[in-house]
Amino acid sequence: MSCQAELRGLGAINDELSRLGVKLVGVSVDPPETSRAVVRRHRLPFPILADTQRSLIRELGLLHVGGGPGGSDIALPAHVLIDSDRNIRWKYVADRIQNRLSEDRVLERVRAALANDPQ
Amino acid sequence: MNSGPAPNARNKPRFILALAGLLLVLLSPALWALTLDVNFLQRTALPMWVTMAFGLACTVLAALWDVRKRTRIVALLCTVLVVLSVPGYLVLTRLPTPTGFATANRVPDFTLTDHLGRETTLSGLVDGGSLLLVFYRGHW
Repeated sequence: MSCQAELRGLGAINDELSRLGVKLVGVSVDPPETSRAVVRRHRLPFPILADTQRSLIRELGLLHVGGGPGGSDIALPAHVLIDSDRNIRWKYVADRIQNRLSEDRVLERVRAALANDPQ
Repeated sequence: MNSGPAPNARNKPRFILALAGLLLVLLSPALWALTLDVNFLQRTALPMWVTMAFGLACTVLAALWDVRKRTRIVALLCTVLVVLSVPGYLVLTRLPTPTGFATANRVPDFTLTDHLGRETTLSGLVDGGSLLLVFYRGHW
């Protein structure tokens, strides 16, 4: 599944995630103006953060060195669910370029992670 | 005595069949790219494998019917391409194993600019709830 299709799919489950108390945020190395066009084109109901310095991506170990156009460094496709204390409750990273979780699977995993809430 | 078309005339469509098979094998990755939005097809690359197998079958059949060298060369070329495409696919689609991601259990606070140019902090986003960060490869 392409990244754009993935984002559209996530947009479709945004309301359901909100009901679960989960805010959705995209992160990529794209500058804000590129992401603004993506948000507008796909009418995404969630913001996209511009990690142009790759700081957060690197911090989480999600840097794909030389994986982007012209050998630039980009993010690996990944999902990270965090709670209000910034603890990671569920995470997923793609192992193949075409592998993405479907939005239904994402919802399923988020629900499962929240159900295991020790608090 | 008329025993049908001359051997050359009979062999021509067979050679064309072999070439068509080769073309299918060469075009099969593009067919895969056309199914980008269909999760199952994209994940399994099924359109590519099916087209490739069909293309290979065409050239092999053509080479069985048409013993001329050029048809057999096309069939051989096709076979080599299909055989090489399996390890090629496995290597080219593989993403590197992330370092440190498996052991990460907390996300450090950060300040990043969102698509509207607003400064956004993690603590501001979380705000007592949960947050799903979706990292993607970017738009290019």
